[in-house]
Amino acid sequence: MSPRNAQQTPVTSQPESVLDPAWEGALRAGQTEDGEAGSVDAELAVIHLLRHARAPEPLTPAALDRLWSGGIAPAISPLPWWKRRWLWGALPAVATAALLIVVLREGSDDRALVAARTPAAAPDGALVAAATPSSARALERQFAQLEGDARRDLGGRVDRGRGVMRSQLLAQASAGDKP
Amino acid sequence: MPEEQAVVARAAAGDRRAFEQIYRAYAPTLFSYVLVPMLGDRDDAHDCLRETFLAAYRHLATFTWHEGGLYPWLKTLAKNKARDLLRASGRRQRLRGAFEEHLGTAGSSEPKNPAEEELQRSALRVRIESVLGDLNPRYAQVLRLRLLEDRSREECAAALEVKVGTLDVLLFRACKSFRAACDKLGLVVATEL
Repeated sequence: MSPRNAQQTPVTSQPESVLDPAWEGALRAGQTEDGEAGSVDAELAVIHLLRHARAPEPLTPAALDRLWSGGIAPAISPLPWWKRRWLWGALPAVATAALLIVVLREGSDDRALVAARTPAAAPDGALVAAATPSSARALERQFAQLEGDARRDLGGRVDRGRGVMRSQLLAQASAGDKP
Repeated sequence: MPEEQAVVARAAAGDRRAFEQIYRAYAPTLFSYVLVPMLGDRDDAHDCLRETFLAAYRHLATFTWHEGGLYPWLKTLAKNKARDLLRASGRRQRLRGAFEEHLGTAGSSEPKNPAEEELQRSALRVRIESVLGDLNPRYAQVLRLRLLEDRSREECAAALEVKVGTLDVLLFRACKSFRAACDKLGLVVATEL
């Protein structure tokens, strides 16, 4: 006896369709009354056959719609782009890659700017120092060093100019004393 | 289905509305005349019907149009899906209330469209009448009244002059007798597929 046979379905007065479970209930009631036991599958097939000959089991309009809208249509309809699974997987990766590109490009722009502002004669060490993230501090240190040298150089040139001028004035004065 | 070839071509090209037109034209017939007889279970028939049309949508591009139209192709798909389900659910399920084999012997050939399915059902009715002619008259009467003429239990009991409880016994014995008569005539009512 199958598990389904074990269920005693209620006997209704007017079963309608081919597969109405009440048919099995009626058969099992008759079998019990007749003092028999066991499967009624073969007798159930006879009932199904004769009921099918009378009128086949219909697929109701509601079931037709439900099968279409609930099972078939969603499976055959293409998903809108915002519902595609691959999109949501790829989106974070694309965003990360874009961010990385922006950061790297900004870094290379900084290096180009520093290279353009650094004198060509500057030592390689200074250029590398300027290209580092602490380039502003390196530039400041370099400027302080160059400023001292420049002031000393300027002071020396002023002193030399002053000496030259004095000797010229003395030479003019001594030439003016002569008749 | 009117202009079936054009509709099938559109559906094969991915037109969802054309495919829905095919579904609404053939799903009821496949359910009533193919899947219910093979499976003997409404829910299983629904599942198989859905799987049939999903497979049809996937493989429609491989369908080559011929004079018989799309129905025989869909019917083959539906039968294959039903057999897959029966194999998966095991032997016990195959014996429950399925009657497809008997339909197969009732007609002269495999129905190729919904109209032929209906004709085959008429042929089945004639064959059933011939089997009923060989039965005990009371068994034949209870089967006719209850199953073919759709009379209520009370009406049947009154017509047969028995109690309602006795009618169930009579119906059970009549079904057994009908099955035995089918076996005698070489008609299979329920068998493994």
